[in-house]
Amino acid sequence: MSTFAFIFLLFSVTILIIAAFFAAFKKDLLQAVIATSIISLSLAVIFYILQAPDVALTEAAIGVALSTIVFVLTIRNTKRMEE
Amino acid sequence: MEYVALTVGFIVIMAGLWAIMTRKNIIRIIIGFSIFDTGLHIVMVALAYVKGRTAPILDNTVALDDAVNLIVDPVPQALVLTAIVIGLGVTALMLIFAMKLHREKKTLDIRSFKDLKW
Amino acid sequence: MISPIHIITIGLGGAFALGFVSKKAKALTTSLMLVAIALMGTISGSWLFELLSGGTETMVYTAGFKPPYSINLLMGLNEALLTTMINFVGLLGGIYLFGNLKKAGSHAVMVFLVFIMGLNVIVMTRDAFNLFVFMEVVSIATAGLILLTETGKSVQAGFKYMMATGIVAGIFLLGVIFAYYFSGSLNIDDLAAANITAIKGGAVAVMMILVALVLELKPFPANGWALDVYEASDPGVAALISAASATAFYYVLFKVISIGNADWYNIIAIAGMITFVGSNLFGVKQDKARRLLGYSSVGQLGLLMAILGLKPYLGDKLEFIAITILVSHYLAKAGLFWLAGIIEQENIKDWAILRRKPIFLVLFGTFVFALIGFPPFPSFYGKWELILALSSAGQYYAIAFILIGSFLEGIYLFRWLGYAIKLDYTKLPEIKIEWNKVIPVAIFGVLIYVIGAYTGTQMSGLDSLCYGPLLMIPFLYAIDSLKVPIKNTIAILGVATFAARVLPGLYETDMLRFIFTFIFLVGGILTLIAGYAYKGKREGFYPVALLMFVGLALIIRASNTLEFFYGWEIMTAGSYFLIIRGKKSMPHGLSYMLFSIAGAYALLAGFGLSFAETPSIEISSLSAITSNITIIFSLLAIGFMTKTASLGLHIWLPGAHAEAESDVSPMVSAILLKAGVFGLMILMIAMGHSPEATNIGYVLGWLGAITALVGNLAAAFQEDAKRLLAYSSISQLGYILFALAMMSHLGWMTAMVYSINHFLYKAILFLTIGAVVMRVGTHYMYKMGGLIKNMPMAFVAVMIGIIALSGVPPLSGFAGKWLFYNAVLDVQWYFQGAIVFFSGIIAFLYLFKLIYSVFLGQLKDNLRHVKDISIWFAIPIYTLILGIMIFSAKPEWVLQPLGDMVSQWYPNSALSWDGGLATGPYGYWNGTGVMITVGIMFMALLGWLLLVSRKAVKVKQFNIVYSAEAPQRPETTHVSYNMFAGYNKALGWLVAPKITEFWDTMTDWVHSVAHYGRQLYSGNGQVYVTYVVAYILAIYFTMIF
Repeated sequence: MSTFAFIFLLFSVTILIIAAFFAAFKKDLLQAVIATSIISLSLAVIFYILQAPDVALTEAAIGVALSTIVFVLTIRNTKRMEE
Repeated sequence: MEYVALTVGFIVIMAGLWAIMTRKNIIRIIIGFSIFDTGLHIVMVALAYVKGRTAPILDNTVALDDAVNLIVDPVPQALVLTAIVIGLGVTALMLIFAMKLHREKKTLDIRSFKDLKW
Repeated sequence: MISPIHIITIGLGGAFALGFVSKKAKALTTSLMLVAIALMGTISGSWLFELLSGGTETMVYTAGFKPPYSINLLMGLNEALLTTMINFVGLLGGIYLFGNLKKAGSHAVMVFLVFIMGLNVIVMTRDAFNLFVFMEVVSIATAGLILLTETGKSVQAGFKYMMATGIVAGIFLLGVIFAYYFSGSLNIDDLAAANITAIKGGAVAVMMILVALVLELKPFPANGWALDVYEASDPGVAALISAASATAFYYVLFKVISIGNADWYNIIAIAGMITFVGSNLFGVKQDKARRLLGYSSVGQLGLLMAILGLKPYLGDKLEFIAITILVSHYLAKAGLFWLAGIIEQENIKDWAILRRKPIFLVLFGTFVFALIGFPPFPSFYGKWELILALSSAGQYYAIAFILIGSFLEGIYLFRWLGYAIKLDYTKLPEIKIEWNKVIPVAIFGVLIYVIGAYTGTQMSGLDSLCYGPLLMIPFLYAIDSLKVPIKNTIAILGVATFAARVLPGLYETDMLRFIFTFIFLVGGILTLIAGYAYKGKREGFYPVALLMFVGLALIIRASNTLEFFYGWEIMTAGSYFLIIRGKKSMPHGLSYMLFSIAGAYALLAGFGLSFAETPSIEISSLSAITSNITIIFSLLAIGFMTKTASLGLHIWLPGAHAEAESDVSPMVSAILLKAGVFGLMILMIAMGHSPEATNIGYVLGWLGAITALVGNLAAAFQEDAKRLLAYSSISQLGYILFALAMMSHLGWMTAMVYSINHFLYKAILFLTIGAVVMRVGTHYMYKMGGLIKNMPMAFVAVMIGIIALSGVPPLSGFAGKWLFYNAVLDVQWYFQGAIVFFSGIIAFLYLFKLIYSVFLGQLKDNLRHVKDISIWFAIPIYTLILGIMIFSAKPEWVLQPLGDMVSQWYPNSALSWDGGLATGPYGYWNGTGVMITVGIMFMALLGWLLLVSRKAVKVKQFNIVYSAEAPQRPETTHVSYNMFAGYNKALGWLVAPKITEFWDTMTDWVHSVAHYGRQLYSGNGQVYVTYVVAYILAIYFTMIF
């Protein structure tokens, strides 16, 4: 269990960092926002592994869904590409 | 395990700060705040984690009278829940500001909003 | 008692319930919100009342558990006071913003209510995470309120605010979670008890918590975002942020600082002092009103932070100091922001609009004086106790920082006030009066006096008489719409009543105070008589004139340094307003005020240090000081010399005296300057006998001598008659300083005689010249001339005045001269004495110029029909002349009591009297005899002249054969224009305005530092975030090393 969880943790962490990189650098803000929601998703996984299932649920709901929606709405109302 | 998470948490916090301080696009800065918050949350949950214990949910596998020794610390988790919700509120409000700023100058470059200075 | 938890239930529940009220009933929604805030305020107010009357504080545990398993709230005296303050300003602020809130609708109303509720919780909670939650709630609500009046700028400011507070909140949360990790509790008291700073990680956790709280208080330089918010949000919102939020966040730091160790007090003290000095320095260059208020707000918070950090040195005085300064800031800043919203003028120069409704100007002045810490406002007492406590603890650097910061704040606040009082407002629009906006300001304006008076009663050592006479001022202000004769009579009666009560008793018991009271009050009555010459209402004159006289009287009455300083500041305030009344007096009023503040701070520091030595505030205890004499004596002497305008500190005087109104010039010259002399005498009586003081006295003697010389030289080169008299005053005060500094019997006799004489003849000269100026309409002597025929009364008065001034027999000036030579011989200050003697010769130059150019020579065409001076000026002038005559004929009537008085302190080489004959160590003199001899000589000469002049041929002025002066010549060729050009060539370098240049350079330097320094605030929100992060790192590294 423990080793498996550890590997899984490392995997999620890697995804999180790659996603963070995308979120910071992608010219297309929409892609950046999607990267942010991937961060939240892997975060939810990390929370689950760290014995915090309730937090994982919340993070999934808020970080992946709600937060992404408000970001996308804003981008629709402003500019998608960074100049 | 918690050390990996802690380290990652701090790295993410730094990454968020870096984005906030260097990216010029306002939405990107708000994404930076989002990342910054994410890092904080990882750190908080990692601090609560104790090796070999289960989630702070009392069910058949956790005996009530021994619960304190079997589960991880529930307080930080409760705090993270609150923090996540507050974080969403802050992000949403910042995005509203971003829209209003864009409406004013048709740009999202933070350098063009320097009407107030000195 | 109602549980304090209901503050939250009403706040949250109310905000929630407001959502159900019909969207259309906007006025109803807003009114309901005000009711909710009023209820919250009632709860906290009733707790305040309960706790003040001896109730016990209460702890509220939510959810029925004790911490760490639940959140607990404390309602103690501090919490009750602060929540009451917050709810009160919330209520008034809500009323102020009624229109905006109504327009913005129910969402804005909810945000407003949540904002106030959140601040209440922040004050009461004892739980660190709860604190975080409500800090975020308040921060979101604040950002919402910033959008209440949506302009491009307010949106930008709001975004910067969110960025900065976002980082700060994150750091705070991180700190809280680590603190929990190391201590196992979120309760602040448990955290403090756990002493986690001892653990390495724990110290970092504490660092993050405290640095976040410091950042919430907008420390310099990580505070650009806060300045933007103050500038760009609606003034009603800015008032709340400055008064309510700042109060709450200050208290958070106040209670949470206990989790840190002793180092933290130092860090916070230093951060606070840097903020106080830095933001006030940058404020100097600012001309946008609300941003300037922002600088001032940030500065005041810095001061409060410093006070908290200095807690280890303040002991049980901490709460008194913090509360008085906090309350002053709270009332004044909210009031100023609200005023800014009413008059809607961005540039501080346009605040002259306040004069359209003079009551607003009064409120503005009140708030400005309260911020600087003048009596009778609470901050005065706070600052006093602060400096005393810091002196006792030996924290000299802290004193220096705090006083410098206050001084810098004085620069911009008084410049601003000067603009409001003096600049032209006729081109500015009318002020729109909305009662819901005016009432809150008025309430705060009244409250600041009430609380100030209450604070005064809490001070030990402050006689109730210290604020009793002040009641004259509101009374005179209330009747300001009456005509001059009525108000003048009331003012004179007021001063006379006080004089009649005080003077008779003093004659027997205390000669020194009798003489100065006589100068201040009888002089006051005489100069006030001249006021009858004015027509109309003369608005605002009487309250401020009386303010000065009350201050002077208080100085005399003072038995301890607190009362003395109180009176000193009252006098300064009154004389400032008197001086700035002159037409072109705006810059002179400012420079007078700045020198006065600097002087007052020197006094404050001196009194503080003397308190640390003795420890007593009694004036008599000054003599018990045994160490630090040099520094204490110097500080106090410098403080007093700003009023005597000694060389180096004199540059405010010529302009201030010359541009003042005709009857104000004698008040501020003949009378006001004596306050400095009185102070110096009190100081020297107490401390002059020590060897250190004797050394300083030697320096002061030189300074006095040079002042006398330079003052007289400068006077000789003036074209402006009043400026000439002003420089003459500088010089005369130089004589007095010189004589005082001898610290011998004859020296002090000289000083006293000069003081009395200067009072008499300078009052005569300024009154006469002032009256002449009123008639002829110019100060310039080359535009006058030949007025002897039209103004014989003025001529005689000036004649007598200059004879007395020059010190030739038979008038009383000679007594001064005679004593002076005796005194110089006695202490053997030959070289300095020679300088003073030389300057006495120069005096003849300007005195000749004065009488010649004004009264002799050719009459100007346009002045052909000018009348003699007003009878209301003539009455005091001739009363004073009578005084000179009596003094001259019977000098022993004055000199004998004086001699007895001075003998108390300097018994050696006193004069001995035989009837009217005085015998000193170096000669003898009989005043009456001299008078009679000279009188006979004069009569003989006059008789001869009259006899001879019968043969003289009278010619018309334009009979050019005789008069030899063509009419209508250009002014530059007038004989009295640049009259002493030759002397100017020879000696002019002595009066080159080096000192003025020095002060100008200093001013420029401050301005350029402010100019370049403030470019730090580039306006870019990201840059501000960088400062915030850098600030955290800086504190972190300070912690490590």
